[in-house]
Amino acid sequence: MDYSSKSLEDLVIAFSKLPGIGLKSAQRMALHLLEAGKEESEHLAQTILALKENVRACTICFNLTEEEVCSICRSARRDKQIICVVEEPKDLMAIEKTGGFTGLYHVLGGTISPLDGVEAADLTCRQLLDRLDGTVREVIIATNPTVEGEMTAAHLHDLMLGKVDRITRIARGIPFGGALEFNDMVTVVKALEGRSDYS
Amino acid sequence: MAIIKTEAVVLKGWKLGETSKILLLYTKDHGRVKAVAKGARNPKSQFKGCLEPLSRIAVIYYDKPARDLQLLTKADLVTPHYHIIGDIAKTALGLATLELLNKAVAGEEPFPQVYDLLCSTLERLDRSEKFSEGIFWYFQNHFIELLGYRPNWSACLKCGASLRDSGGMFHPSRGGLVCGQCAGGAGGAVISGEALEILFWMQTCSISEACSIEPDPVQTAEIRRAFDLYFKTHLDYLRPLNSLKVFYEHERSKTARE
Ligand SMILES: [Zn+2]
Ligand SMILES: [Zn+2]
Repeated sequence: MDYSSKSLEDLVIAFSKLPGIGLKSAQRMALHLLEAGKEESEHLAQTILALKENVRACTICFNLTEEEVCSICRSARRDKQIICVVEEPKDLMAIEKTGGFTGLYHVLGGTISPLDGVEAADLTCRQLLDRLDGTVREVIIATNPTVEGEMTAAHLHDLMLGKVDRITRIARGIPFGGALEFNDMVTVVKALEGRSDYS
Repeated sequence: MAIIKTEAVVLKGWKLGETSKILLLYTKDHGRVKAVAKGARNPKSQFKGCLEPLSRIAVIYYDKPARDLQLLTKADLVTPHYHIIGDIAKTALGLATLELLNKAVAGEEPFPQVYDLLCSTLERLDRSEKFSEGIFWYFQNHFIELLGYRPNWSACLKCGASLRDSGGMFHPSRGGLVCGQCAGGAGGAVISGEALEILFWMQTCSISEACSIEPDPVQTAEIRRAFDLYFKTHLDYLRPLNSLKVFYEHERSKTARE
């Protein structure tokens, strides 16, 4: 890079480190801020700082929140008998966006990944067990269908056995609008294994 | 730039950007290769379903020797491991195999015998219905031999006396087993004759026989320790293995539940 200003160069580099932002977009963003009023930069800087200062994990479900307990855990309209376990807050957001689930969540904070040195103790498995106090009837394990996501799901199943009436796993299968012939072998086999009664 | 067509086992994957993935592959013809699979995390990607760790795939990639990240252009599943996925014990043992291998191999040195051993280990693990840990023992026994450190599980390293009945003691400075007499006061961990019998037999048995054994908990603990000590003595950097920790933990909780 060849910038005549060190400050400009620093900002371009900082932006380019953000996911999905290449050098070209980073430069466009930096130049935009340079041309815009000072308030815009101040507002952006303060918003970023506020994010870091205010956002924390819900003490019950580990969703992102600014309170002690998140709005989902506090809501009277949610079904408290059912907990959906996800890997990351972004997975929770993906389910919430559909509006199709009315129970509570539990965010694990990742998966058991031995090759990266992540053990079950580094996740919020213990805290999930503590939530199974008799009011919860079903836990849905919604970790991703990856090698590590499946291993984590099996581990959770082992941990919760006998502590909750029903443990379920989200279906793995052919995506909506997809065709059998265009799916990979593992997906087709897992879809057959996970078949359910026609109702 | 060359176009390389070979076969590989996926050791590890990382997310890259919004939709891509970086992969660490153990290839048959070029050893360990790091490659980027563009768009691999897009649901419509041609790579979907075959870039998970443990997958055995046929690959085509562009190789630029000066670059440490190659470009993967095609990948097809050769042998899917349906039954490893979702089974903690099998997954942990499979990942332990990858972890050990990844620590041991350096760069683009091809080692076809190691590749074949890896593939037969994963394939057997997928089909195993009995003692899956035996398959990992088989792998370790043969892997360390391929690396040039064939263990002697049957005779004292000092006097040559048979250890098959009396068992042996692990002598770190000698790098292996000695008999009670030769150990004097300096003997380390004791490995019983029964455990040594299994280890010795596993150097020549077939991989399908390796999972048909039924060792008792004492022998199992001794064999685990024997491998641990042997690897630590000769190839320190290959131990400990995180995946084995997951496996042992799972075994413990399974026993506690029964
Ligand atoms: Zn919450
Ligand atoms: Zn001796």
